[in-house]
Amino acid sequence: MLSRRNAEDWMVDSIIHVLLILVIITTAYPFYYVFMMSFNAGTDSTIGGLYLWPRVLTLDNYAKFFSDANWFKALEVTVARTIIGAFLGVVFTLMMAYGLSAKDLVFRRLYFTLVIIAMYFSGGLIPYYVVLRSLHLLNTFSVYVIPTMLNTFFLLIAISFFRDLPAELRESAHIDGAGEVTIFSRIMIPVSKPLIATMGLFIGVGQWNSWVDSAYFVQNNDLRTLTYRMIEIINSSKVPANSVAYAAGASTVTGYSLELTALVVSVAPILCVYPFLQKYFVHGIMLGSVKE
Amino acid sequence: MRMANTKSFAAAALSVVLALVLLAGCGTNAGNNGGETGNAAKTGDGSAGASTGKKPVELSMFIDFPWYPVKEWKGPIADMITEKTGVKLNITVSTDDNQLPVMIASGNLPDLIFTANQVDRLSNSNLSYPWDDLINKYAPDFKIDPTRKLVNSAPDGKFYTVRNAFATQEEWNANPFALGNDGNPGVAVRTDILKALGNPQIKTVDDFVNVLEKVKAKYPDMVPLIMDPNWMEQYFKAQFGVDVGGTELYEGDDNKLHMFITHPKMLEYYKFMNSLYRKGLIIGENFAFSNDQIDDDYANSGKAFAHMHTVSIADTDNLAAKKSGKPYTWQMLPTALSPDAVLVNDGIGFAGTFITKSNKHPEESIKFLQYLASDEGKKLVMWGVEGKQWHMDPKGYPVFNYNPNDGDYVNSQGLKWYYFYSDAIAEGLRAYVPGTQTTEALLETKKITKIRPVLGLIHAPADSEEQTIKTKIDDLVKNQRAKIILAKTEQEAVQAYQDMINTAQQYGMGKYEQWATEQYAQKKDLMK
Repeated sequence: MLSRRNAEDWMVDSIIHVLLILVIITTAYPFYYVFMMSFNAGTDSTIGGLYLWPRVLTLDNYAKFFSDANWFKALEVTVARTIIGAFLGVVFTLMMAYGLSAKDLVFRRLYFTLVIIAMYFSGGLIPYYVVLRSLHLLNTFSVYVIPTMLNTFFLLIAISFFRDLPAELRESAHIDGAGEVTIFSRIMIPVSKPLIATMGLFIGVGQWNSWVDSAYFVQNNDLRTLTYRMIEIINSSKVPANSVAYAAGASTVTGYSLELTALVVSVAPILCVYPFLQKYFVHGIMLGSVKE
Repeated sequence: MRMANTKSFAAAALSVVLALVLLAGCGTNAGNNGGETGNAAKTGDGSAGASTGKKPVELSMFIDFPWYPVKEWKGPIADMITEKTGVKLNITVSTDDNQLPVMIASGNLPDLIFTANQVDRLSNSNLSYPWDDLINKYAPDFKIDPTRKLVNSAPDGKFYTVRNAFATQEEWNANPFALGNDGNPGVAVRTDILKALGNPQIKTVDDFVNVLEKVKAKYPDMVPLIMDPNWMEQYFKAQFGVDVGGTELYEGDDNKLHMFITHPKMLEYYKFMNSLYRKGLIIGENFAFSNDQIDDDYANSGKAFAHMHTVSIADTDNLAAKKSGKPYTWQMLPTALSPDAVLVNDGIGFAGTFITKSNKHPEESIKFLQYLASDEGKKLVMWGVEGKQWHMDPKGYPVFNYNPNDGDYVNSQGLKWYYFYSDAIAEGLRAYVPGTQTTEALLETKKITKIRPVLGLIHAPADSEEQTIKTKIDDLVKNQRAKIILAKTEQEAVQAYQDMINTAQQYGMGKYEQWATEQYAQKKDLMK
C-alpha cells in the first residue's frame, strides 16, 4: 500500500520534529558551551557574549590543569577504581540478587529486610567513617571499591530481572546436572548482558565521579583520585581576600575557566565509553533461549 | 533435593559474603603512612631537637583551609626547618570545611592541626594538649607574652594554641616598618583614563565620585567602579568614620557595645552607596558575583576604571597588566579620603596550630613550634634564608631579592605558608617594600588604624544563643545589603535599612549587644 501522507500527518510530524530538535538543543548545548568555554581564555570569558565559538582560543586552561604533577597518578587510581569497582560491584550485586531471587531461599525475608533497611537508612558520615576505620579500610585503595560492592538499587532491579526469567531455564539446567554456580555463571550471566551493561555504566560513572571518599577517607597522596585533584585545583583558585596578595600570573586562567575545564576532563571519558555500551541496551536478548 | 540445593547455595552465598567482609579488613596499606590515618609514620627514634643526623620525626599535619596554596612539606625552607628541629611534616589540606569536624567527631585526629574555624572545639583537653603543660614539661625556655596567652586562652584558663598574624599595640609601635597585612581595603584606578580626563585630583570622597561620573560619561561601556565581593564595604565605611573591625562591634557613646549596623554613620554610608548605584557608577551584578575572581577579570580585561579590593590591588593589577601587555597602569587612591577615616584592627590572629592527643611526639611538636616562634624561625619562614633571599637594611627592615607578592615563587620556595607559629610583625615587615604602592598604602593605613584586641576576644561560643543571633543577623545583613544599595530611590534605601534594623531587633540584637557589653567589661579587666 502506498503511504499517502495527509496534512494531519505533516502537522504531527513537524511538531514532533520541532520538539525533538528543541530537546536536543537544550540537552546538548550546555555540554557544548562548557566545552567551548574551556578552550577560551578565562580572562576573556568574563567579558561575556560568548555563545558559539571561542573568541580567544587557548590551551592555557588545560595546560594549567594538567600542570599538576600528581595528575597522572590520580588518573591511574581513578581508572583502576572505576574498572575494579565496577567489576566487583556488578559481580557481587548480581550474585546476591541471584541468591535472593530464588523463591525457596532460607531466611530470604530476613535478607530482604536487611537490604531494605540499609537502603533507606544510613548512619551518616561520622558513623560510616568510624566503621571504615574499624575495618582498617581508611587510607587504602580498598575503601574505594569494597564499600560500594553492593548497590541496593541495582540489587532490587536485578532480583526482579532474575525473577522475570522463565523458571524453566534454571530447572532444565538443574535436570542436566548443573549446580547453582554453573547455572549462575553459564546461563544467568550471558542472558543478563543488558542489565550488566547498565549496571556497569552506572556504577562505573559513580566510581569515576566520586570524590568524597578520596577526600575524607584517604590521606595518602598516591591514592588521590582525579576528581579529588579537580576539587583541589578549584579550591586553590579561591584564596580568600584576607590572605597574601597574589600576583595574577601571566596566565589567562581564572577559577571559572578551570572549573569548566575540570568538567570537560571529567565528563569526556564517560562520553567516550557510552557508545560502546549502547549496543547492549537492547531488548530481545531472551529470544530463542527457551523453547516453549 | 531441591531444598538441599537451595540451602547449600544459601550457605555458599553467605560464606562468600563473609569471606569478602573479612578480606575487606586486609586492604593493603599503600603509601608511607600506616593504615591508621593521622598516625605519623613511625620512626624508630623519637628524640627531636637540633639536628643530630638522626632520622627526622614525621608528624602528620592537617591544614583546615581548602584554598591553602602549599600542599606538601618541601622546598628549601621546609628542609632547613627539618634540619633545625628534626621534624618533618606530612601535610594534608582539607577539601571542605566539614572534613575536620568529621575527624574530630570520630576521634581520628592527626598529630597537628592548623585551623581557624575549629579553634574553640579543639581548645579542649580531651582533644589537644594544652601548650602551658607541654611548655612546663618540655620547653621551659619557650616564653610567650601575657597578651598572647590571654587572647588565646580557653574557658578552662589554659591555652591550646597561639594564633599567628597577631601583634600587640606595643609591638606595632616598636616596629615602625612592620605594616598591616593585605587585609586592609584599597582602591586602584587606571592612570591612562585619569590622564585622559585631565588628571583631576582625588583627595576627598566627592572628588572620587566626580571622577567616576566623568568616566561614566566619557566611557559609557566601562564599569566605573568594580568591587571584589569580599571588599565591597570596608573602604567607604572607613571614609565615613564607621569604626568597626572584624568583630562588627563598636563602643557607643553610652559605653556599651553595639552591632555595626546601628553605627550613627551607617545610614549615611548606605545612602552614599545607593547613590553610586543610582548614578550607574557601580553595577548590580557586582552583588551577585559567585567568586572573587570575576572583579579581577573585569579589571584585567580593561573593562573597569576603578578596582576596589585591598591595599595591594594596584601592584597586583599592574603585574597582571604588564604580563598581558596592556598599555596602562594602575595607581592607588589615598587610603584616607576624609578626616574621619578610620580602620579598626580588633583581630586576635588568623589561625593556630594544635597538638592533638593522638600525637605520640608532643615534645618534638612543642619544640618544633618553639623554633618557629623564635626570631630565627620566624624570619626563615616569612622571609627566607638570610643573605640569600634577604638582608637587613641598616634602618631595620628586610630587603628582599625576590618579589614577596609573587605567589608562584613564594609557593615554590615554601615561604610564608609554613607560618604555623608566627606573628604580625615578621609578616608585616615582609610587606615593607620601599617604593611599592602596597607599602605606601599600608603606611597610610597604619596611620588611621586603631588596635582593639579586647574586642576580638568577644565571640560567642559555638552553639550558644548569642552565636545563633549573630549568625542570623550576619545573614540578614548579607542579604539586605544588596537591597539597600540597589534600591531605586533613596527613600526606598532608607526604608530597607530601617527594615533591616527592625528585623535585627526581632532576632535579638539587643540581647546580643548586652551580652557583648558584659563580656567586654570582663575582658577589659583581664587586660589590666
